[in-house]
Amino acid sequence: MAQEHILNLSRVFGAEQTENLRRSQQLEDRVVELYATTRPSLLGYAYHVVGSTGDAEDLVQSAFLKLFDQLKRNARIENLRSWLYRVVHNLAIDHVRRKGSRESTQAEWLALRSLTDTVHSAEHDLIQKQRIAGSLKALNERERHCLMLRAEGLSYVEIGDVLGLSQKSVSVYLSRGLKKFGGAR
Amino acid sequence: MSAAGKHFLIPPHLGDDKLVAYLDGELSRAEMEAARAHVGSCWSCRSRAAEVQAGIDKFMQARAEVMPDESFLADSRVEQFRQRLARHAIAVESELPPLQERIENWGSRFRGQVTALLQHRQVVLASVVVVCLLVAMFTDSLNTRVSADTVLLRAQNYETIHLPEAGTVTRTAVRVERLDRKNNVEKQLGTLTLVRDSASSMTYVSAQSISGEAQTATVKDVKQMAKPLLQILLSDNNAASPLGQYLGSEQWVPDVSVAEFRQLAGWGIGGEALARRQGGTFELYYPFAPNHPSGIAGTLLRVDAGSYSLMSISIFTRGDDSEYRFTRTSFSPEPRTSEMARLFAPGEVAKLPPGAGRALPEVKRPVPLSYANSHASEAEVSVAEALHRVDACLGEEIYLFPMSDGSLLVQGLVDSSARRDIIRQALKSVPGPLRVEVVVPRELKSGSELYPSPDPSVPESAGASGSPSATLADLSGATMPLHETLYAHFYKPGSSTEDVNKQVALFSDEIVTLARETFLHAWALKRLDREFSGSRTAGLPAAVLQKVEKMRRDHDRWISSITRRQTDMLSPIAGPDITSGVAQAVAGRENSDALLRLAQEQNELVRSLFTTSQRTPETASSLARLMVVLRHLGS
Repeated sequence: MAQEHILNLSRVFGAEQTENLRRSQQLEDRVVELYATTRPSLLGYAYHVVGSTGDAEDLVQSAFLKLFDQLKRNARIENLRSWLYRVVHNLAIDHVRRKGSRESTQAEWLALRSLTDTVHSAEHDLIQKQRIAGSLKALNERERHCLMLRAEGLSYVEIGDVLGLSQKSVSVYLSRGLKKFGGAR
Repeated sequence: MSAAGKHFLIPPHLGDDKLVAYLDGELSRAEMEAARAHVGSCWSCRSRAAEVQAGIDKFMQARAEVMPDESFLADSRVEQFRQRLARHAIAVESELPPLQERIENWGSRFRGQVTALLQHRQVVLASVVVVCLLVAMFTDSLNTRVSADTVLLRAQNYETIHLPEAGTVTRTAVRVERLDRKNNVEKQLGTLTLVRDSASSMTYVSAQSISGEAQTATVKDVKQMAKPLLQILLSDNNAASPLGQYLGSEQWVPDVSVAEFRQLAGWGIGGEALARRQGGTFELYYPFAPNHPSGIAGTLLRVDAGSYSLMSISIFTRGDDSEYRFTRTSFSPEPRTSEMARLFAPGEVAKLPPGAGRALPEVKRPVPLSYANSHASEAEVSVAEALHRVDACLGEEIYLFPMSDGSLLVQGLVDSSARRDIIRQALKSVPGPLRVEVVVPRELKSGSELYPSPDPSVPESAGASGSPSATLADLSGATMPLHETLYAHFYKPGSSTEDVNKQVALFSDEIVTLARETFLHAWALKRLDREFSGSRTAGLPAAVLQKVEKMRRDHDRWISSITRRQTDMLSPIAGPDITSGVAQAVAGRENSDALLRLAQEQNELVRSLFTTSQRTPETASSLARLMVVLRHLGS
């Protein structure tokens, strides 16, 4: 359909205008395609920071709008993956700060509430799950961010890039986080 | 032995961070080799490596636990993002160009004007004109610039997105009128209705002229109907118009669509397309070549600047200096009712003589029935079950209405569009005619209305009951009635005040959340009782009734399980005296009313004890009462 459409347009408009339009449309298509494929992991990370599915979705989409602007301006992006995570991270942190600790506490609870939503799990399971999830709270912010990003498959360099840390600091935060987590019963 | 010698015999253990980096393969090659050699020979480090691995496993498990369910990742958001990006791209395009570029533009335009004016030697007038032009140019530069091609492309996107979905038809209505520009007379010529079917990809067309002529047909390809339709719509006093004949011979259909407009604009390339924004409307004008055989001077498309939906197509003619305007008066999806489906049934269409058609069934707006005036259907139970599965029964303002035409309507208000997606997704699998009208607060305009709950006796919303939910800020502990008790309970020698306070906050936060959940489940039970009362479900098959029963049991189980957890949490706080007293209390929760009252009481008791409040309750007696209520609820 798009091909035919472009053909029709070139009848109406000049070739140059049509070419510009094609490029702009192709860029949009590429960004949407990238969004569709990378969305689940970015959403997962954003959700852990903001604690609301709606806000997480909104932040991830905003990151892709920024990506569109960057590409449109022909700006250079070294590592697309860490660039996207960095933008999502910064947007999410801003969001949490703006909403204040009040909302983020509710957000944490929403995250925990999702456990109690599983209709058929037995009570024992439920309590067990709550304990496990509760131990996430023992981690500090940096540790949690490092662990979440590592779980999404980012390398130490990429994590450092997202959070503005050295590779060495990333490994320190990861080991502390895992230690706390492993120790939490 | 010297320190160096010791070092040589037993290589240094790996630090925690090194060990994690080693397991992640994140060390340099040399470090990696050294670490591998060490771990290979060191039991202590190998055992710590296993601990790290266990930590990773536990973390991944916890991460999976707190992740929302899969519907969160539904692909439906991709299409929504495509639209958002399209709007964003337009906004970016219509931004003003950089300042330098603007100044250069002004400069060149200014010079051009001065030269032209000097040539005519009208210097005095020129100075006035220059000032006027400068003002005009300045205001022009403030205009939102949009290109015709971009608007057309967005409009095309809008149409693609609004193709009829499975189970619906799309009804388009077009009003045709002629504006005589010489005498400034406006005359309505007729109306056109098209109904596109999602199932058979057939289209029902019906044209009616103001003089009473009509033509109706159901066809596969609307193009074949172009001639007769235009004959009816454009003939003036039964005289065939040249424009109508030309458009008919080109098989142009006056349904206001991007495809038809593109066909029209493609015929007569008479110069660059012009685009401008007039308030909330984009206007795209495509001039025709002066000697075009159609007699058309140009064509104009009006597009809504907010949604990019088409509003009208105008054709300007040279000969009679008129504007023929085709205005889309409605464009909406409608349910594919059985009456509607008959329009498109192959047998029915074949039976009709050529050219003859049948009347289009009018869609009567169904109205919601109250529970007292309607019976529950099997479909209603299925919808309730689907809503139950996504917890839309827990305090959300989502109602299921039995409608006067036998269909069902799910209507309500939710907090976010993500939540709406989840509800829509859940309802997808439900068979039968079902309309879903779930809105988010920003979509509630004065024009749209939500029906009141089908059961007036049930409180409006459980979500609205009580004071706003507790937050950690409220639970800072300073004035929470049970703070001291909880502090003493969690205090261990050596632990810091901050740590203990955190534990207190977490504990009270959890107990408040659980109390609210119990209340919501009791409220849902009460709603089920009203919705599927004995009189409404009389005559339903046993299997269907079992489904209702199952929903009841689910809520029941949750209430028991949550209250048991609450009791376990509170028993050590309450102390043995209260706990043993409660054990002898007689349990009782006869019906959903009694249950709801108990649930409400425990919710209020928990709030009074574990959140900051103005009133200071008698903590010991409140706690004792709470244990009794929980005992009743948990039984």
